Amino acid sequence: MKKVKLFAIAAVASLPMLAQANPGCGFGSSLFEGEEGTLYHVIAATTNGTSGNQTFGMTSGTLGCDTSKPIVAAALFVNDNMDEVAENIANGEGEALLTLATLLEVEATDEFAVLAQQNFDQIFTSEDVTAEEVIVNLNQVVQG
Amino acid sequence: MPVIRLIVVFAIMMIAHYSHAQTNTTTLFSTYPALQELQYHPRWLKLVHYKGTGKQQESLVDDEQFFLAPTGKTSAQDELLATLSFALQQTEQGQRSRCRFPARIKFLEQNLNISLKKSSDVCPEFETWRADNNVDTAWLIFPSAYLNSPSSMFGHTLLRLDKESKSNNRGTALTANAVNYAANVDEQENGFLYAFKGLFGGYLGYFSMMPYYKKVKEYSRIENRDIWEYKLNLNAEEMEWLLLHLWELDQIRFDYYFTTQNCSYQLLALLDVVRPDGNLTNHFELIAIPIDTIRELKQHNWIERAVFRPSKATEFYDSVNALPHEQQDHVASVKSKSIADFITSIDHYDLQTQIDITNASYKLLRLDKGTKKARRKALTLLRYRSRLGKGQTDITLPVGRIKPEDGHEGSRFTVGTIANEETAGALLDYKITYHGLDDPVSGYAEGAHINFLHAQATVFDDTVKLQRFDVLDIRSLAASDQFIDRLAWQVKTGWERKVFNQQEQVLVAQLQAQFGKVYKLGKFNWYALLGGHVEHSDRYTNPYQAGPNVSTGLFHQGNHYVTEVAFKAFYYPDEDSTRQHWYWNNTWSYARNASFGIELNSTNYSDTSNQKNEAYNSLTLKTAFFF
Repeated sequence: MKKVKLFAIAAVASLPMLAQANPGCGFGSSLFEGEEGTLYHVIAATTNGTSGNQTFGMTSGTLGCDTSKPIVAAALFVNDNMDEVAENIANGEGEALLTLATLLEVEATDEFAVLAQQNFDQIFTSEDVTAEEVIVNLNQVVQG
Repeated sequence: MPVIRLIVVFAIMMIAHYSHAQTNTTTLFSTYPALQELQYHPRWLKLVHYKGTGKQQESLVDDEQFFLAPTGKTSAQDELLATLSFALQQTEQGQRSRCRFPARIKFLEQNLNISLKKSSDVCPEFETWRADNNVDTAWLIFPSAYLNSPSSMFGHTLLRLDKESKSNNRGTALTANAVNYAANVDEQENGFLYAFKGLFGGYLGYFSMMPYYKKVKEYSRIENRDIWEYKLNLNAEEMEWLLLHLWELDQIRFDYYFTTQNCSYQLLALLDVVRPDGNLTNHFELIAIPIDTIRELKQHNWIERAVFRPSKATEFYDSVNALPHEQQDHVASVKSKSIADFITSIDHYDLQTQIDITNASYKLLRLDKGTKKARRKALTLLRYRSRLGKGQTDITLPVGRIKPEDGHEGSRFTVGTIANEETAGALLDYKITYHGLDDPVSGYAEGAHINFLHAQATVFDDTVKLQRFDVLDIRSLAASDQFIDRLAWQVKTGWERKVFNQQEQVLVAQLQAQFGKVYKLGKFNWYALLGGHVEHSDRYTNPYQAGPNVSTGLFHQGNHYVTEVAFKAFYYPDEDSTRQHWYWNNTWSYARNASFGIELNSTNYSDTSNQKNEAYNSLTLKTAFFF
């Protein structure tokens, strides 16, 4: 199988340490994580509000994460877009998949999409898979 | 108390610097003659967010950090002199002001024809931020109305900053930075307190930045709101002004008001800096409805093109509606069937059909998830989907989706003639905003109705009488179908004139709410709702009346014709009486902002104990203008 040039950075071996290397940088979401019900929205929800002290320097949600590393940026993206990434990989196309490829600095996006679709089961191993695991699995699939 | 000492020392330093600056005022004016006029320069006024002139002049910013002169909030001249005076200093403080206010520095440099930046200046925070935001395009983002959240009822607006020259495909839009102005709210705060503080200014507003995908997740996935994205036609110089001024607003506090100085208003104030001769905010001092601000931008040629980003629910309906009926039934069945059974039921179709059915089915499952079992089921379906290959890309998407800004304007004025069994008179009706089921539906969501501040009066024999005044009237009548089960609801509060006997018609304060279901019947929606009401009037034996009510009706919303026939019955246990109301409305729109209508009303009061039974019928011909 043709290999895809995937990660521009070399430190692939340290992937499982992704979270540890970025203290405070959480990848907690799991696949299809449930959102609170309608009532939650009626009462409390998303009043267009923001909480906490936000500065432009620390973009919200990336606190403690070194997003200049492609792999960290990709893991953060997957963390917030798990459903779409899963759907796009299963379909072999889509905006979230394209974005992920761009973040990972993949050049051959079409091959990347085919490879990911063919190995969907290896990437999304269970419904509790985390963003970090998805990135690690994706890397393994691509490295063949 | 070292902290206090530090503050005191700092304050003395500030005062020293400022008095130093003041003694230099005359010098500044003689050195820079152009300075005299600069305090009136439109861009200066926009950069410090001033409103009003002379003694009325005041900046909308409510943060001391934003002003360099102690009187800066109320004086454009003082702030201008202080800014220049600080900017001229070689000191660390001078450098800090140059790093903090890059747009003001650019403004002074341009207009005084001088160079203020020092070669020794280092602004690491700004430089890093500017490098991270090496963008060339700004988009105005409009997540459409969301009835379930008080702050989002009329929609919301934010900005997105793209590096478009890097990529023309949409692979980078999601990771672009979004600029959001919002109230700083404790998520646990309850809705009523929120509404109160939102109206009267109890919240603090800040600009914040985050990856756009976070906002997309919030709007299109969690809240199921369609998003319209409008590309602004800013050139490189204008983009520079936008970014430089945005930096000046980092961590700067405004008082937040959700109908006036809200997200949409403050974004216009930001854009006013970019094209200072435009005065975009001027039309929105009383109320700023997001879609109206988009219309304003469109009218003044800010918008290059629009892109539609469907919500997850819209995506599902687009994909399922492209399928023939019998295949739609397979999609609906995925909710109750096991994935194994589902696959068996569709495996006789050709590959592309299997792909189309599976895609739609997954989108359906995703709308309703959460339990571990549901998540496993969705994953199992995706595994099946991944084995089907890529297939053909595009399903047939609905064409000609009407852009929200092309719908009727928000304010409505109606005149008409009203005839009852004895006499005829005139009808006057006005609402401030937004959209009702009796208005043309183009550009608005089906079954959604939000009217804010709506008054109706009649004139009979030269007597003007206020018939109703609705403060807020919301109806969320989205239909349930074989795919999605929805709760329909409506709530209304205000005053309505009620008949107590022939001579006495009294305005009664009321709050009513109903919940129920809506189903499609061909081109019609049929609804049945059950609820309660509380009324207050001194005319009642017990001034507070509470009771149950029912409501049922049919409505149809076409491109040029909308109609609704409704029946409501209110029961008053205290008085053992009922009020029944029949209503039939027909509205034809003959232009984007004009319509003609015929309305029939019949109200029946019956009182079982006194055998009272009175009916009031009326026919109304009316014409409405939106503006």
